[in-house]
Amino acid sequence: MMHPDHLDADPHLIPLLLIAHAEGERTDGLRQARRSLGLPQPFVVPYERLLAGTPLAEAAAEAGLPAGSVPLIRLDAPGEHFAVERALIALGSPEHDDGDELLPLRGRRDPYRFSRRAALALQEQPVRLMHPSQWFRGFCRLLARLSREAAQAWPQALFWNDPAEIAIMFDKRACHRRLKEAGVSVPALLAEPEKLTGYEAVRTAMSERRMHRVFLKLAFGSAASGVIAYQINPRTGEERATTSLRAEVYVQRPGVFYNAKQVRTLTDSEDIRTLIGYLCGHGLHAERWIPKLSVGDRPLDLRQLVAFGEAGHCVVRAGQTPITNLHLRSQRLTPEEAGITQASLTAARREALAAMTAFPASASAGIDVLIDRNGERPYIADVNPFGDLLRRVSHDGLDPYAWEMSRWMTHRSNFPLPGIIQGGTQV
Amino acid sequence: MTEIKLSLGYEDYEDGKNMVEMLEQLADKPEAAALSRLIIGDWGGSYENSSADVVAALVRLSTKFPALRSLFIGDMSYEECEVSWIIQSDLNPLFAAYPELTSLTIKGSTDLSLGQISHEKLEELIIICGGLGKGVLQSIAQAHLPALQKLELYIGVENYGFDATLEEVMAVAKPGLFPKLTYLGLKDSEIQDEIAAAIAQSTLLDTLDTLDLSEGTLSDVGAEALLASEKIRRLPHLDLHFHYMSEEMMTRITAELPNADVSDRQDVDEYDGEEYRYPSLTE
Repeated sequence: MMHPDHLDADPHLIPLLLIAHAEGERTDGLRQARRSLGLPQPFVVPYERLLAGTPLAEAAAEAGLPAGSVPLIRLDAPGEHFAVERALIALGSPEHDDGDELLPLRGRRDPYRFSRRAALALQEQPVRLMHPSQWFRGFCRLLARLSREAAQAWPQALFWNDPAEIAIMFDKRACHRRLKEAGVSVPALLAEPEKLTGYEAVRTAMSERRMHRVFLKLAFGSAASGVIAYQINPRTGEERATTSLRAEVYVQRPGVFYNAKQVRTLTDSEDIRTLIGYLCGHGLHAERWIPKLSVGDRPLDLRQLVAFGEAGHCVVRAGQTPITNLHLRSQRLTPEEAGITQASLTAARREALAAMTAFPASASAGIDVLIDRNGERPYIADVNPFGDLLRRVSHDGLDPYAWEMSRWMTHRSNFPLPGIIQGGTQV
Repeated sequence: MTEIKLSLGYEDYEDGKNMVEMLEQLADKPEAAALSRLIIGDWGGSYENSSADVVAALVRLSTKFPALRSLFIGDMSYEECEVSWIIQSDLNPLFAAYPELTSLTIKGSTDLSLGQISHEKLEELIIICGGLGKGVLQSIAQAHLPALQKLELYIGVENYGFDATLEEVMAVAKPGLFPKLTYLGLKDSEIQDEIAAAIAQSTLLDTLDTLDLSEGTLSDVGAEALLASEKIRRLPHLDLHFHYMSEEMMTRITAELPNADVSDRQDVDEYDGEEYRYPSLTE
């Protein structure tokens, strides 16, 4: 329930507990932002410390959080850190098979699960997808644990983004469902995820729904990882899969899947079957391919930052392929440079704000918006709970972190919305 | 000049709307009389329905568009339909129905035919596709287009319908065929080097303003043939952008052919020890 002490307090007196990587651009960015606003430095609890088994309260004390203080807890992205990735996969192993209460769509089993021991023995292979579904299971177990431990240690503590909502945002299937239920504009679903058991099931659904062009997404990928723009020509039966996903297939053991630098279009059915089968095994979200607005012949999408009910920084990404959110080969533009009309931009912002209201216990997210080239209707493609790392862009003269923090200083009393019980855990 | 683009999105198409109705509605509006440029985008499931109904409607409604000078049939991006999946049709009736037309652009070559082309006023003919069939090339090589100034053809690759020989391609560039021709584009080809070599010494170049060999697989081989030609050196504009020339060759071209655009150099794809070069529109 609400915590009047917390809301009335001087923001300079509320400690920020940051669960993140000890070093890195995000942590540095947040530190810098707090400094620029005259706010005290965050107490940083590294993911590694928590994953080594240290309870949250103990790790917070180690980080310097004064005893008796009630922190605001902010989680940042756990990615791009192999030791953390490996530890999360280990946490998702059968040895830890409990604490899945925050895992969305938990009726399904992960394919070829790694034991804890096997997970911890994984070696870093930079572009390889290690075990997305077991990683996500582990991440959700960590979220549940943090939610639980925070409630025990500081019954009045608030999360910046609620762990249960982070889990839903991260799972594209659950996120799509949540957004649709909230009346937010999302691309039409190809089929309920439970039905998409493999290549044949995907093709059958496409044929039955007459949805010949779809985006197939790994349910918990980040950015363009594990995304396939897939189409079947209803007249000729020809199929095309445009993706950066690649496979090395073996007879005796599971294949190796990785993200290549180049986006390629595959036309061989067996190759395509392998990739789609992999996505289905781990969890597939499939939706209609929205023909996106383009700048020249480069399709674009928008990353719109939203915090405390306001739309802030907006970045346009223009790709050379249908997959616009690739880090590689995408070009970043301002909305003005991309020639997006004010009306479309306003509609996109409105939709991003609507998407955020589907997550009332979370303060901010980077929301990916597609604009249909026919009619310019906006669609929400993704809600990224950690989508605020936007470089070299300012709003109201502030970088994204500083803007978020200043929004928090002035608008935290409206947040979370009254009556929200956080995290599915009874606070 | 007034311009209108008609395009039918997926939702509208699945809801039963169709392009023929959209054309009829446009024809009934007062602005139809002044319309000078009409762009037809996705006509609804363009990968399963041909442009035949659109062409028939345009022919039937031609008197409603007396000012129409420029027509584009099939303006859609790969976000809407793969270029090789766009189903065209016999566009020949358009030539008789619109005798005042000066510019015709076509995107997509599947099932495309142009028949016996005869048009006194057409100045521009542009075909954008993944692979141009020999039937269309023959129609152009035998066309009566005395006013034609710009001919721009995406030649493409065999996979997407290119099935002509080099001779059949070069037949459209026969000197004297189009006496007013100033812009020739034979581009986006997987035999771009051969085309470059075949055109390099043609007397057609004496009257051209621009030769466009861009967007294809042009390598040092084709570039050598171009460098060896006095006629190429005298051309006002040589468009070679999107190419596979080496850095050294680019330096030479830049120094010796200041008329050339050599931007957008591509890296050769290597895969299992084989080298692959792809034209721009067919990658």
